[in-house]
Amino acid sequence: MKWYKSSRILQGILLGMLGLFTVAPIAWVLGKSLESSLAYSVDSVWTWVCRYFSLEQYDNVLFHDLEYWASYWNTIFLTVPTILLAVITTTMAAYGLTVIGKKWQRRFMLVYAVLALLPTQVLLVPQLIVLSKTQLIGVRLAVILVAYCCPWYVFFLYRLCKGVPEETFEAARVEGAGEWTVFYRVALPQMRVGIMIFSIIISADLWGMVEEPLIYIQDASKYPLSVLFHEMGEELSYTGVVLFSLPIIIIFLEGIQSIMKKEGEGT
Amino acid sequence: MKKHRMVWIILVILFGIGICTVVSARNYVEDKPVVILTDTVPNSMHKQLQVTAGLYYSETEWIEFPENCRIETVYAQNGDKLEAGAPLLQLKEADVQIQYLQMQLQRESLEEEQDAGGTREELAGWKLQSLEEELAYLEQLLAADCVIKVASDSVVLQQEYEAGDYTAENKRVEVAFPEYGCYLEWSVGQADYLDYRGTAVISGEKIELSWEQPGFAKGMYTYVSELPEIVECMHGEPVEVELLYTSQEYRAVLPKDSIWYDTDGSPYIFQTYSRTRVFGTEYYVRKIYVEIVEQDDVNVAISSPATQIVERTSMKLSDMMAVTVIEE
Repeated sequence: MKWYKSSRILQGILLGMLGLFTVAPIAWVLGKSLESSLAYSVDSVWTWVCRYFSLEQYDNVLFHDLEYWASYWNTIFLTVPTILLAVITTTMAAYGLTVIGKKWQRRFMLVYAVLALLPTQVLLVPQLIVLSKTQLIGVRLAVILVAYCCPWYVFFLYRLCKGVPEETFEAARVEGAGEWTVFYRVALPQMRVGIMIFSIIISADLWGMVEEPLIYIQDASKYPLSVLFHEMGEELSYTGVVLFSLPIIIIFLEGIQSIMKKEGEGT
Repeated sequence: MKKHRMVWIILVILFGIGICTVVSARNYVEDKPVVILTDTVPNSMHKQLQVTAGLYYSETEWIEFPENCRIETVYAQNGDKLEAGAPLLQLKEADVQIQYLQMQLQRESLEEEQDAGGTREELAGWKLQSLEEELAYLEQLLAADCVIKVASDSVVLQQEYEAGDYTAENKRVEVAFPEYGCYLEWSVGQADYLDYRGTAVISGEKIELSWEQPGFAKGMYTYVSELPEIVECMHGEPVEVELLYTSQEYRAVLPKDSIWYDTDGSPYIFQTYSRTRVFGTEYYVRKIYVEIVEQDDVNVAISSPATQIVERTSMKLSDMMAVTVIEE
């Protein structure tokens, strides 16, 4: 059999190309973030290679760019409360939908489905009107309130909660547990892994939000970093992107590791 | 610790962000240049103007001679300095006597006319008075052996006669009297804005000048400044005079240090603006090109007024650079 007729080799080449296609932008950003400003002013290739790599940009962003870090804190101030609020309320909503009964379940899920189908851009105007009327424009709370209640989140956790055996809830109720105890003591521990995955996914989503802060905050001093990236000079934006993504990547990796460990413990 | 690993990771990340923020905030204050601002004000330009003036004796005199007398001896030439009573020229005595006799005859004739009366009496009387003065002068001249002398210390400015020449209208002798001092005279076109002060160096001595309203002629202003002290000089000698020129009032004048120049020589200023940043309000500078209308050693007049201009800075500025503004 010829080598090129081997399906494994072909698959390998295809997957390699796909992998390269996926990794290339990340490698490019990483490479550019390590580029020295001297790299442009040399003539020989070897000197260029020698002078290319430098931590100069990292030094500039890490220790000399106050605006970057102020925006970073804005991102944290917006993201962390939103995640916490989303996890708390959505988990409760998901549990409620699970135990509410099939008739109401269908009705509520229909409402959620309709809301989830609406594009974000369609919701921006009514949300803006409501926030204006409630005097919340220009306040971080506006973004938090809008961002934390996403129909998709309820869908996600509803499916998760649905996976918990209903008999466990019934058993707890028979033992005299109230609805809160059932939720807190029975449902939540069984949903823990799913909630962790959910938190990681929405963290990545909320960490890079642009539209909501831009429209509802309307104050440059409160914009998160994702909004202000376009204002950074090109020479610093690559480093800025790397540092911006780093916490999410670390949390993601740690989260996955933790989930796998818990899954292993479960089996 | 292992149980709350994620919490610890998040805390470490937050701590790292906090450290970077604190260091950046400290560097932000240290990296920013400190600037002092100024605004344009209406003002005039003052600068030194150097002109060449002529130095002249204040008192000069044309020596008068009886007509048609021959010059017998010439005692002084151009530029000679004469003491009081020193001889200038000697005329031929016979010629002077003839002139004297001729005038006497004229006097007799005029006296007759005066005695006759009538309309010519008054005119004859007037002519007679003039003739008497001339006769008195000729008598004095004859008494001094026809030698013309200077009355006081003098400098011969112009002496055109030679021995044997006849006294005539087209030849003159001019003397100056240094004891009356000198004056400087110059002409400039920008006279409206010349201050009434200046200095000149004459014979190595710096002399302060002052003058009054200039005389105006043919688009130029002529200034005359009497020297406050008597100096040794040559009549008409050129002297460099330093004057204080005050320009018209310009709308937008700012200190010269506030102007920067591009590599191609184009002048620009740094104007300060404020912008809202993530961490609050920040001052920054914009590079604005200007047109210089006039300048002196201290100030520059630009074409249009401006405010919040950087006058002094602690380090080199560039366009859009954040700065710390201090009030002076």
